[in-house]
Amino acid sequence: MMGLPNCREVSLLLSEEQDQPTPPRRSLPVRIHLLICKACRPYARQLDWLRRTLRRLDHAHGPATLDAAARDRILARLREEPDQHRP
Amino acid sequence: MDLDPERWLTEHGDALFRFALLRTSRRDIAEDLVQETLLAAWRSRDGFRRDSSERTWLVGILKNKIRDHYRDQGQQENLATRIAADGEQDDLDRWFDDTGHWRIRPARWGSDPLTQVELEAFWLVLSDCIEALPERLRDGFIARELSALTSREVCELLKISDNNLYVLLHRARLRIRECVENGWFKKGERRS
Repeated sequence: MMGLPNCREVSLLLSEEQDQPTPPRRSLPVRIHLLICKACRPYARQLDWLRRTLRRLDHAHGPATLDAAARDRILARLREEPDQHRP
Repeated sequence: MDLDPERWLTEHGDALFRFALLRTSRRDIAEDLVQETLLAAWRSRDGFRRDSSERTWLVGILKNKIRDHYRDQGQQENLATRIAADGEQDDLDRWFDDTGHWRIRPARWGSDPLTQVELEAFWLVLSDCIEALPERLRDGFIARELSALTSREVCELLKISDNNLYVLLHRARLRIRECVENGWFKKGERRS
């Protein structure tokens, strides 16, 4: 008996899709559930929104990035280290 | 590729910094921890196993540095972390009822990307949400989403199976989702 997954199961599968490629036999029931479920649709969109927003922090010269001064300081310290055969 | 701490700083510096920042809440301490990590990695470079990724190896060293940092200070990270560590067991009943339905439905957020200015403010809300996670959920979530390790690398870092990782990240995302909804979207900090 193949029942469609419920919200509890679908939310896990949606999360898993963020972490590994999922074969159609796993993702198809999820897509069908999303067609009929008004509670999980926003959740699916939210996961994507969070992922996209978090990835933008990689590029922003923003609050979650090493600033130039810190980078220079660390670099200077690394260069003091012996055994670093630099040209 | 040769092991080279200057390249590590270029390629992994931000990933390490974000991890440290979310574990210490202090930029200056996080910067020091990144530096200590790269120095320690360089000194112990013979211990690097080629079958592991550089980033996983470096984050593993950083994790130890963070632990040492708190031990030297003679303090637990904070009370919330200890309580949360006790509540590590399955908490999915908090979100779903006996029939598998949401107890509280996720709200609609809108799907517009944040402006650069909003992103700065959002980061403050998000980092509070991440810091409130139980320790293992937090480490897993930061490593996967902010330090951009692959799932396999996070499994290696936390020494857990892939199925355990999927559930762990799922639990983290449920908490983060709720926290962001309450702290950002419902507070109307977002002008839409």
